[in-house]
Amino acid sequence: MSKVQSSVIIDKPIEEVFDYAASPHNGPAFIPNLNENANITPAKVGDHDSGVGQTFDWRFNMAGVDLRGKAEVTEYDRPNRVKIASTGDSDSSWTYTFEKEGNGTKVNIGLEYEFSENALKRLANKVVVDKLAQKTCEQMAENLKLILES
Amino acid sequence: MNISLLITTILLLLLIGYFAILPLSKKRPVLIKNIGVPLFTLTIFGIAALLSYLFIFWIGVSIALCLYFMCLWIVFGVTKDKLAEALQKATVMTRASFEIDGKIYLIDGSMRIGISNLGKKTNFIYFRNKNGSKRANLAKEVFRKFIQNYFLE
Repeated sequence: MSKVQSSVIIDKPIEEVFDYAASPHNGPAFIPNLNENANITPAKVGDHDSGVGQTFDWRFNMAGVDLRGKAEVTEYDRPNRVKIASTGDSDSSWTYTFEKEGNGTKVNIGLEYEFSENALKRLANKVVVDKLAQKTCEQMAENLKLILES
Repeated sequence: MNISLLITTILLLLLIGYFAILPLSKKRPVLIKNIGVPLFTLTIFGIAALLSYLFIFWIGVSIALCLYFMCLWIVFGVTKDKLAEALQKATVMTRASFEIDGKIYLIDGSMRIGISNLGKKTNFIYFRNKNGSKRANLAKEVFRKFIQNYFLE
């Protein structure tokens, strides 16, 4: 499995940052190339509910090539940590951790992934995909900051 | 067939394959955006010029340059209402402001977007102040995703 990570400090309260980043509905807004998260079940997680077990279908589009799969929230500790495991064209786990930093929030995004051989053939080679994943992770952090600091 | 015509025709077929056949095979709308629009124009005029008169190519170059600076998207397979809906949804998700000024949508106070309907489900989307804020550009990118998420009806 390959690993990439990035972090960012966002000048917003930890709960607000957590709620935005942990919701699969918002994924396409800040994750580059993620076109959609569909069939999100349950559709909403309340402030005091555990989000563990929430599932959804994802679809990435890279240069016209669709990658699909299913995801499940496996850890949900509001407002500190959320982990999403996904299977399909790419087996991956996305871990977001949130820490108070002054008046803001430090977000760490960790991504572990492994593409199926079939998906790699459709894309390019592993080196290109690894670079793309690192760039995606950094862009996610940047986009989160941009969206939330309004 | 001369070699220039052959190469231009192959280029046109590749463009059609990438921009049209690929999405249509998945029952998704066709979205030709940014550099794709002038490239298509140039290739079509190139073929026309190779089959008739060379000056047609220079007309194509002029039109392609205009289209490049207009920063145009062409969408087939989605109604204007659905495009407006996708744009509004994109601004909500990126927390960008959304205002309607006549027929123009103003995003994050810095990017003006117009949608012109050319036929039932054929639309031009044009962007003014293309150097909009970072948030407006992110909203534009999310708008692109939402257009491509629609299925052809």
